[in-house]
Amino acid sequence: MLRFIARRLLIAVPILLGVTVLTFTFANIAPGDPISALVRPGSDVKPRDIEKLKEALGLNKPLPERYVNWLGQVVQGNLGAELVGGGSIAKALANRVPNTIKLMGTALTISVVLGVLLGILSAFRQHSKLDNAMTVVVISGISLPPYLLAILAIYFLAVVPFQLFGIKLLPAGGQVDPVSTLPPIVDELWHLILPALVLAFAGTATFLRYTRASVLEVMHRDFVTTARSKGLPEQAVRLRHILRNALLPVVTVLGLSMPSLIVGAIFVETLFSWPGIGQYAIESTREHDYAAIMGVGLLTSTAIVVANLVTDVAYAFVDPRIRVR
Amino acid sequence: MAELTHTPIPEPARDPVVARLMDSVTAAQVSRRSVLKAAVFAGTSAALVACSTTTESASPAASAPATAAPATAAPVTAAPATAAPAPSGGTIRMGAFEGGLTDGFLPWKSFGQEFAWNWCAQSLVSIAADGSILYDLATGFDVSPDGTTYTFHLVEGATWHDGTPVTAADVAFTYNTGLRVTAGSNIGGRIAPIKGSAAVVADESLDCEGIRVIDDLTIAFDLDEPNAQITPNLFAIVRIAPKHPFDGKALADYTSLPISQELFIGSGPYKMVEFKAKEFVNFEPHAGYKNGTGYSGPPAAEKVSIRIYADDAAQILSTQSGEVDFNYVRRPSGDKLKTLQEISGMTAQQSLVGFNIFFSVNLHSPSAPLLKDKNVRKALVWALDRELLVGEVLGGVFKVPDVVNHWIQKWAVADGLETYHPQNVDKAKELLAAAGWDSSIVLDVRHYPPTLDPDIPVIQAMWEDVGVKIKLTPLPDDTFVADFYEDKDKSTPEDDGPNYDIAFVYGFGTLDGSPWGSDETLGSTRVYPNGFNSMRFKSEEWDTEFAAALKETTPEAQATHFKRCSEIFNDEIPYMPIYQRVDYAVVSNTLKGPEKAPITHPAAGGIHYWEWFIGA
Repeated sequence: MLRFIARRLLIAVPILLGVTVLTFTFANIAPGDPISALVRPGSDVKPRDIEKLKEALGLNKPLPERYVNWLGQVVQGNLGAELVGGGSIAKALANRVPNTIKLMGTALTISVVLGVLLGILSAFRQHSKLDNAMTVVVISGISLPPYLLAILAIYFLAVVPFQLFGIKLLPAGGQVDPVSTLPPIVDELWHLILPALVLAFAGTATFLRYTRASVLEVMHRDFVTTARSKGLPEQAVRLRHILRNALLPVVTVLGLSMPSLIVGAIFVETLFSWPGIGQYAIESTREHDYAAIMGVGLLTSTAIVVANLVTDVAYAFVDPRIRVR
Repeated sequence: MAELTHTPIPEPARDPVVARLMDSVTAAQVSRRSVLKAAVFAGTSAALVACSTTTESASPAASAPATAAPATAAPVTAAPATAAPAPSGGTIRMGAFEGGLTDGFLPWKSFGQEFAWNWCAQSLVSIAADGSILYDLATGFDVSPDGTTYTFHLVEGATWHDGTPVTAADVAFTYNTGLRVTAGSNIGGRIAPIKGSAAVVADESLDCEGIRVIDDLTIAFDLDEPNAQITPNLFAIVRIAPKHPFDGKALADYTSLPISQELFIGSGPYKMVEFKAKEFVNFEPHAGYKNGTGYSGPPAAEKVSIRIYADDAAQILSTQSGEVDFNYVRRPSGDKLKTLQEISGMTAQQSLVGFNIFFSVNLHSPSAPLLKDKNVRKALVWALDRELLVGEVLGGVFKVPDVVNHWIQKWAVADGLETYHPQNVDKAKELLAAAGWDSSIVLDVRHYPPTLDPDIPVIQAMWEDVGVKIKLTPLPDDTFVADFYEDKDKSTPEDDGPNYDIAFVYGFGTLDGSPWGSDETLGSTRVYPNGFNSMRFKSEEWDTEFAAALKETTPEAQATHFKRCSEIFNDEIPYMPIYQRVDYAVVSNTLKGPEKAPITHPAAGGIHYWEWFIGA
């Protein structure tokens, strides 16, 4: 197992390098740069200042040289400074990662719990009204874009209650109310509900669909029929034979859900003004802040690689049929 | 010859102040900074970052930047002495749009911090939307008879939020640092008129010889030559930072110091007590607050809190949800304006912003040389039914100007200018015929923002009605500056101008309608990269008149030259402004203070923020 993990980690290095090369290339070949974007009539940045400011930020050097410089810094544990704001990127990410983990962790928990439970129920009651209702949930979750879902959720759960009844049911955005009198943890949880539910919706649908399909498949396998013919109680058949085998593929889905969660977080964090790395990615992209974009890219790609590795390892542990050589 | 003295005359009552200032504004003006619109990278990069197959691009933030403006010190436009505000109290909850508080707090890296600075920082003076001067850290200033030395007298007893006294050395430090790129400065261009500034730019270890500390409460600025727009373009813009937090620090470290990234130390009415980047900033009253109007003591509200939004949809939804008492919405669409107007307990107030929405004509080398004939340009404006465009097509969120350059303040505009309004199709056809217009010509028209706003196809139809055909192409966000301003044909040594015949652009212009700064867009020497003359407009008379205005020291004399400039512009219309942008401030009915002066862009000054409070 250790050799398996070591091998996967070694493979991860070129993958991450490749991602950084691609991110750096695409970010830099896109038209515009952080200095030129500041030049407008009335702006403090005049056209004649552009070259001097570019030089001060090292943007006038050849692309490969800039990449090597960046990589050299990263190897030493330094992600550099934001080109636009001048602050430390590592610090900005360190401030934001916990917020994203809170949001994604909560959303993932909701997705897994709800998705798996509803998927099991849906499968055991195939073709029932509940099953049909769950099908609607699945289709909605897969087809509704997070941005639209977020606006609808804010409108019906924050705007309408306040406009009609003067009730602040749920906040429209932010991580905290800057002037709240509530205990901070309560205030933050209150602000977490809506974005977490929105982010969890698509994931719930995915887990529900996979779980339902998996349970239905296992239910018709020979060993289940055998278990029933041996006179085992139905509850025991379901718990020990069906669910135990049906839930294994869900572990894989769990690992693969990381990229879609990150993409969802980009939109949800922006619309809910949730100060996570998704919002930071969008802001950095808008500002052409290559250094910050690289920091986010490296962090998210590392997270995905690690998530996939953990999934593989976990799968090997839970599925006795899989043996790592 | 006696020096001109600009010392405020204290007044006992505050009520008549605004009205009096409005009447006496014949002089000053404000220029303001721009709010830049961040362009968005391609969806590919976002997707790559997320390692996903899904691609999405962030919606570009709305409008573009504005031109600065303005003005001159109005002689003896007294700043009001204000009594301690009563009643008072409450927590003011404010919203800030994208761009706010994203760039640190250093005054020489001045972009997007106005939302915070309005409450916690002071400049020497600031200038209100009506052109009147509000004295912040200065109680007044003198201008030497030759117009080359400005001497500011500072408020006695003013303190920084940490209790340290404010002195002229702080002012000198701020302006000197503004010349040092290594310290993160991007305002060197504003300080350039001060004598010796170029030497500091070349050698950052020097101090500028034209910035002289006379004593703790007096500072003088020597200019290379008279420059009447120095007050609105510099003294009213740059907020003053304390020197002591930077003592012993390397220039390169300035941008990462706590005063830049965590809590700014200012001298304004409120003290910054909590800041979460891109989330919110909280303020509490500064008990030792003093300003040049004679006000002394803590401000009216108990607390001020500013939320920051990354998205205008989030900004509006938050306002609808009752989370803020004041939100400023830039150029809302007709639908969004309706939404804002329907929010219960709040009022949507117009904020007239001087941003131009205009056609810029490439006068240098258009594919249709007839565009160089001013009659053709005039015909293009006469062909437009701007009432229809503003009212029915754009949902009433813009304003048709009374004259073409309406948003230059009246004191600087000649009487009897052509209005080009209402629409006159016959006149447009006559002018085109007189110019020998060939209806087979297809003009290359670019538009910005790249999204097709609803008025553009209607304008296209109106022009076709008079025989002018156009081909529309968007100007992309990321390459806008280069596409709009630059000579694109680098194969020839001469300037061929940009690649289009006409560009339709939303967003540039003066923020407050002052004539100051107009040379950046109309001066013949201000072709990119030396300025923003996209048209390649050249008028010796206009240049001469504008330069003459800069050398004058009285508003009356300045106005004479500006009026002639306005006549030249009105006749030549090298760019064709067609309507004026209107922003909206959504104000809670319980927030008291904003009603005392016209609502303006948050970047504009002259607002008595220390008087705002939450009432019944």
